[in-house]
This record gives sequence, C-alpha cells and structure tokens, in this order.
Amino acid sequence: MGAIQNITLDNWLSELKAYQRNSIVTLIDEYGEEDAVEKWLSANGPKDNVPFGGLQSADTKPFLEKFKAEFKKFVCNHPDYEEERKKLNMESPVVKAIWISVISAALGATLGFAATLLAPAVAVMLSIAGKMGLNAYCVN
Amino acid sequence: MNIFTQIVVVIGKITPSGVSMLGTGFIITNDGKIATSKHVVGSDPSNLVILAPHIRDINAYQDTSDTSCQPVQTTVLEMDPIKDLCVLKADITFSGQLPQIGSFDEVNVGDKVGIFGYPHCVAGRRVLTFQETEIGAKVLLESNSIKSKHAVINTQARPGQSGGLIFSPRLSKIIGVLIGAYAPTQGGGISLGGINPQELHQTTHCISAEYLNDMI
Repeated sequence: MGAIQNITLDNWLSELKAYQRNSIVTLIDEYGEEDAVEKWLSANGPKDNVPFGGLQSADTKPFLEKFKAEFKKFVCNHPDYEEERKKLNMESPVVKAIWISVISAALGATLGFAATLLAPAVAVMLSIAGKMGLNAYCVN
Repeated sequence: MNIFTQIVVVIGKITPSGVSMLGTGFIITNDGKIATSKHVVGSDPSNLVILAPHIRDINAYQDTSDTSCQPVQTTVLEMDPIKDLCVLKADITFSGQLPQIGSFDEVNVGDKVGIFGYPHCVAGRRVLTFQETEIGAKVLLESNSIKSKHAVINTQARPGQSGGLIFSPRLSKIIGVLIGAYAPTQGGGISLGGINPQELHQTTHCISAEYLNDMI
C-alpha cells in the first residue's frame, strides 16, 4: 500500500462531493472522526419522521463493525482484496479520489452497500489509518 | 399534467417472486437520473429497477388488476443518508423539457402545491395519484445534529409515496421530495392491522428539492 500518512483529513475530504463533504465535516466537528463515521453510516433522514417506503431498515451497529473490519482487511494486505489493491499500487503517488473510489467499491461489493454511501466513511478511515501509520493501525 | 405520467416512476427491486415496489421516484435529467428518498432504496443497491410508465394520459383509467410491468435496470449514483435523498441512474432518456428543480425558499406558506406519487405501491397497488394541498409550514428537521429545510404539507400521505415530487404550479418547478410524516415514536407505540395510528394525520414531511442540485 502506498504512503497515506502524509495526507491530511482535509485532503481526503476534498475529494468528496459537496453534499458529502459538508455533512461529514459537520459530523466530525460535532462528534469526532470515529463517531462521525458511525453517524453517517447509520443516518436515515430526520428524526421524528416515519418513512413511507422501502424495506425495513436494518440494525446498523453490527454493520459498522463489519465495515471497519473489512476496511482493515483492505488496507492491511488481507488476500481477500489483493486484486483491488493492485489497482491502487499502480497509482503513485496516491491519487486520493481513486483510492476512495476503489476501496468504497470493493467494500460495498463485500458488504452489499452502495459504494457512494461508503465513500465519506472510507475517506475518514483513510485519514485515521494514515495518522496512526499503517503498521500501527494494522496491529491494533 | 400528462408530463408527470412520464417522469414519475415506481422504484422497485427484483425478487425471486417478481418486482417488489418500494416507493416513488422522478426523472430529473434527460439522461435518466432519477431522484427518490434514500430510505426507499435502502443501503443495498442490488437488483434495483424503475418501472416504465404505464399510462400516458393522467385521465386514463388505471387498471389495478394489471400486474404487468416493464422494469428498467437502475444503479445508485449518489446517496445522502442525512437528508434522506438518493439519485439513481436508469438506462433511459427523456426527450421532453423537464420541470426545473426549485426550493421551498421560493414558495410561501399557504401556496398551492401538487403531489405525484404511488400511494400503497409497497402493498402491490400501482396507481399514479395526484393530490393538491398547500404548504402548511416551513420547518428545519434535524438528522444527527444537521438541520435541513423541509416543509409540512397539509395532506395525508401513505406508504409508497416517499420519493414523490412536490410541484409548484405557480413556479412550474419541482420544489420538494416527500419523505414521510411526523411520528414522534417511530418503532414504538401500537399498530392496528399493520397501521400505526400515529401516521394518520396531515403533517406530511417533504425536503426541499434544492439539495438535489449538489447530487447531480
């Protein structure tokens, strides 16, 4: 995996669409990075609103743990994502938008989630992993 | 009015037993982008379809016994879980002039609005239905501490109408997207024959359509 430790949170978030970036920045300011990921992934519109369509919403807490586990597998060289990682290793230096896109698509395919929904969470997780350093992140 | 028979669609999911109808959506670009609510689609983008229009004339009698449909494969382009909005892409083109996307900023409380959607489609009934009402209030609704512009419209909506469009005849613009109704104890309370009595009122929630502009 390429060097991501020098990329700031703002740099990762700059690759997101405005609607994603604005909301995730507000969530980070309010709750911090890790909780912002959870808030984003578990959000389902305004409170005190009963939706009039769709399937019954699933419990998102187990999903968050699964998301984090799959993200760690991806960045920590698990063989499940070897093919997808090859696409990133060809990109040098790191092309942030491609990293977010490839990881979101790979995790989305595994988890059965829309890649675009995962993208802001992936961007924040890349920042968290980069700040820790991948070696430290992967042994935790 | 007939344009709405061509741009307001059912959002569905292919299942082993056929198409399960999830809610309403509407075409917002000529290359086949469709707006709806995020909760209509859910988080899983697999097997999503829209159903091609089944009538051309809004005054035509819609045959409720006709269960045939033309599903068109659809993918998720953008999804905003905070504002409960979603933009899909179907392999279709629309050659006519689409209504512009507007905002609740452009209307006043008391203004007449039209609603198009498929009430009860989640129960298997496909009837494109028009309702007329007025803006009852402009409100800020909060999701995880983020507040967004909404309106209360003074009519009762039912499951299947989420993702439906709110149209201002004065502006000739789509100004909102129906997302549900006020219910303070979602997931709790009593249910009578599968109906939550707390949903049965005229405080229907819609989000301002302006937020779609950042998603297309």
